Amino acid sequence: LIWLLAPTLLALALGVALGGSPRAIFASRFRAWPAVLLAFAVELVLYNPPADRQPWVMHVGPWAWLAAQVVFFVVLITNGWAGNPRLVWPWRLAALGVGLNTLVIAFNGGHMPQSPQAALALWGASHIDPSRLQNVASMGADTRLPWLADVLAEPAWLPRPNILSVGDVLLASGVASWVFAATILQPRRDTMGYRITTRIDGGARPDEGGPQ
Amino acid sequence: VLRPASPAAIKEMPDFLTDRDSARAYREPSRTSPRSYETAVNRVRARRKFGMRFAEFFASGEAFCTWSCHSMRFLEGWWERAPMYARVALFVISILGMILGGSASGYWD
Repeated sequence: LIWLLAPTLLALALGVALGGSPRAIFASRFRAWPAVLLAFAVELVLYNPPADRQPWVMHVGPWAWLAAQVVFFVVLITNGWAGNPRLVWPWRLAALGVGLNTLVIAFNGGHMPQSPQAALALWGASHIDPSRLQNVASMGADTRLPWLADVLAEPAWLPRPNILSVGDVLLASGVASWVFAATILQPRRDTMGYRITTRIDGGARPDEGGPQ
Repeated sequence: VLRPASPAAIKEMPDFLTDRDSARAYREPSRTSPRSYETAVNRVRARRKFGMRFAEFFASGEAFCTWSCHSMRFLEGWWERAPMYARVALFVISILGMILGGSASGYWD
């Protein structure tokens, strides 16, 4: 968890330190965000009590999770090909990560295979509980695309360490890159230099409404 | 030194320059009836406008996602009018949801 969120927080801090503004992130349009909220809410309901022990949830849950992953992928594709041209490549990187995860999940029955060796090294035992719905399953000989599954163990000294996939790393890198690029590409507007300068063509800046 | 200037290239005019010319080509309206002439021009304009809208409707994918596109536009329009704190909260939740929900590790343990 920490390893996935840390790059985004570091990117935000670095962007602000280099003169960017957090306000610029909010000004950058994030298309189809309601779909993200809806898919994330479905995941939270499915994989937490009391729904995660219901028989019908254990039956349809993996496919609902796969559908949620497809939603995330489509949202990232939408932002990567229809957004601000200067900010599309981070979304494409993240879309590649989610696409790889979705591919592995689809090929393994709606579950992400998890390396038992990595789980043993990290936790001392597997955390997979077959009595409730979980999004991971133990990796076996019949696992497809095992190199794209959860095989990268986080350092054990981190709080709540977990096992990541290549897609997770690409997703975290893409979102962090977008946060940094959105912060740094639109410079802070409240500097003295920005306020006293005038564009050479005499035109107004977009946020000022008319010539000053 | 004066050099002879090359003659300016005259751009060839298309056969149908305006809706009026197209209307004449489709059906010569009555020269004595302004209403007939206006009707013919309007017909050409309507055909062109409908054809472009029809092509855009399918080329943009709108034909295949009418309900979802309209819902998304409604919500995105609401996003533009929402209070600042609600926008910031939803934005942060969206980004966190994208990272945590899009990743495929066991975060629901």
